[in-house]
Amino acid sequence: MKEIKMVLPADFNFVPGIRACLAHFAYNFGFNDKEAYHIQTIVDEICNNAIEHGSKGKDAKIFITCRFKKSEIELLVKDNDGLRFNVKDVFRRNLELLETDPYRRGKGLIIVQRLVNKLDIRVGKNGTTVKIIKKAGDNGK
Amino acid sequence: MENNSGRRTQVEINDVPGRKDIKLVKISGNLDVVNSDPVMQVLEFLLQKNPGVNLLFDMREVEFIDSYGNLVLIKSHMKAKKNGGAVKVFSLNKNIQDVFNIIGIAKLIPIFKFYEEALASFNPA
Repeated sequence: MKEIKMVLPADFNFVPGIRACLAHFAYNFGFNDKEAYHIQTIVDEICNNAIEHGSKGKDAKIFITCRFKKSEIELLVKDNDGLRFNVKDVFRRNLELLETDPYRRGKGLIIVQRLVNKLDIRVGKNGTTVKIIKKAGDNGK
Repeated sequence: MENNSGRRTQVEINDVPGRKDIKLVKISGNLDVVNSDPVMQVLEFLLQKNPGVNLLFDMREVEFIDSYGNLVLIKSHMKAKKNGGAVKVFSLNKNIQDVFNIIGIAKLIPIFKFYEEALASFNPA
């Protein structure tokens, strides 16, 4: 398994580059064009959440670990000072919004959930870690 | 894979010959967290100056849209609709349309393959 670790300023301007970078790597590990686009979306939504709701302050950072093996990507994104939240509540609200209020933002986690094989969110005193696994060949499901 | 070429996002607004009630909005590049606000400002100004106008989005050169970008389309739809206008989209790439279907945008905003069929779908002026 090949691993990449990155520490980025918690600044949205870095997100386009990261999502493009990881999607390009995925291309070389057995993911097709559609799946590489899904990976861009996944990376984008998770990093945006970490920056918007997580790491705060002048020196705020987000921590990204990405592991590749043939036809599989495992991605972890951690913030370092996040809001405490109840994961189940967030998912429930996201789903409700999806069904009842298409005009509001806030469905990023639902989008991610539908595009990956596995999604794990851990909320701790030092921040939140979002981990996903996506396999090539079945478009996430 | 033609994503994130690194080029700047651009918005180009043109009239549609014979249809003063429709503006053609061409977006190129990415519509995401970094540039969705300035794009929305342009569209808000356009809608404010042209109450009741319909917007037809040309998406041929859009490479990536995230949830911030989706909100630009949704807000445009909402604001246009308030004054009796409509928002429609054509030539969306298949990958983007896939995600649109997941979040249900396709239920709000009609998506067409080609310009001609999108144009024909608007009510007569």
